[in-house]
Amino acid sequence: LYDLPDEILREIFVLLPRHDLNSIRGASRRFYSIVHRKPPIRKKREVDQIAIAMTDEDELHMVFVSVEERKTVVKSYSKSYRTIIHKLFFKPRIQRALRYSTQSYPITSLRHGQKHIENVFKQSKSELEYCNKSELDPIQLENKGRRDLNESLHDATLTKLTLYELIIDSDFLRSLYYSIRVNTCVKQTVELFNCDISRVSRKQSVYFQVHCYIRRI
Amino acid sequence: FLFPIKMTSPRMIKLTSNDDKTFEVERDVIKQSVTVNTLITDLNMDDEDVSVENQMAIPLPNVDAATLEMVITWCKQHREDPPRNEEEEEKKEKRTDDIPEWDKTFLDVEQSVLFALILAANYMDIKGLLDNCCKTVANMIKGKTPDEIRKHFNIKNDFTPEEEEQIRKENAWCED
Repeated sequence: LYDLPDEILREIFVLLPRHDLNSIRGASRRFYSIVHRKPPIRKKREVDQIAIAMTDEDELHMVFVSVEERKTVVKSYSKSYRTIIHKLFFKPRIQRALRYSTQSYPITSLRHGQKHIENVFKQSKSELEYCNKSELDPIQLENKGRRDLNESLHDATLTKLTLYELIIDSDFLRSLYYSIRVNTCVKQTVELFNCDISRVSRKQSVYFQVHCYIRRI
Repeated sequence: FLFPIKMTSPRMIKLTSNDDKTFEVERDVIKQSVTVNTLITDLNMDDEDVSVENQMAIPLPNVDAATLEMVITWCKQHREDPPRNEEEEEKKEKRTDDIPEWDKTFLDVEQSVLFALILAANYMDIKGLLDNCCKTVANMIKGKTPDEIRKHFNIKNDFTPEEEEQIRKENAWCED
């Protein structure tokens, strides 16, 4: 059991009722840390208060959903969210990987509730940056051909979303983090580095980077 | 008039394990693996004109032959399963008492085999198999004390006595 990766152990632990969860966290330090990783396992299914919808490829809306609306709205948006993952995080970056090492989106195209995100992040950097990873070698992609490239995107899987050096409004970050957890599959993981969500401030600067890669053999 | 009837045999795909054993498996069976399915599409292996003899084998460097054989057996058994609706699955209450009987028997194996199967299912992205394996492990954990869990899974206790006492207190508080 100890040899299984953390994300699988967590999926196993999610299946345990409270009493057994207490037992497993008392079995070893590693299990304890997995159980206590955020969002807490017992809360994982209770955080779908936000959904994200997208109206077109260049605009991402963060939409808060009231408790009363939650079920229906989340249901209708969760599919859209998956589209966002492909279109916003995935497709444009790879399409342009042949020409650019970094893909950017203007932060002005994002909204948080009714506000433009630039108003939420008072001293924000002016863009979202999309990182190019070594496994997406532009030369290999070019050899593969544009047609194949586009087709392969349909079956591509976002396996990891990394947010780091992120200092933003804590509510927004929590919402974003939770919505990713809620609206995506188990195989997608979110990591937060250097992010102390209890101490963040809107006055501080923003740096939001997304990594994604095709699941390759 | 009599026309010759062309019999269509099922499309076969070759998979190679990390110990260099090659398996031929029906395309319809292995489509349950998202990883393999993606690769087949990416590599244009659905081309009907390419015979199985001339076809490139898909390497699975993280899966050994014995485990791959089990994965293929599981996929064959579940080939008629309706496609999973991930959104619905996510919303469903998490249960561990709904493992199908066939899977229960199939997964009644040594721990090392079960864990190898979990890693293979995760790598090959076969959600149904991964789910049932995880449920099987969860059932192994259920009802056991921390000591019994350590013994069952051969895990070393790396807590100090003070930490153990602290966790015991936390647990008592949680369960009150």
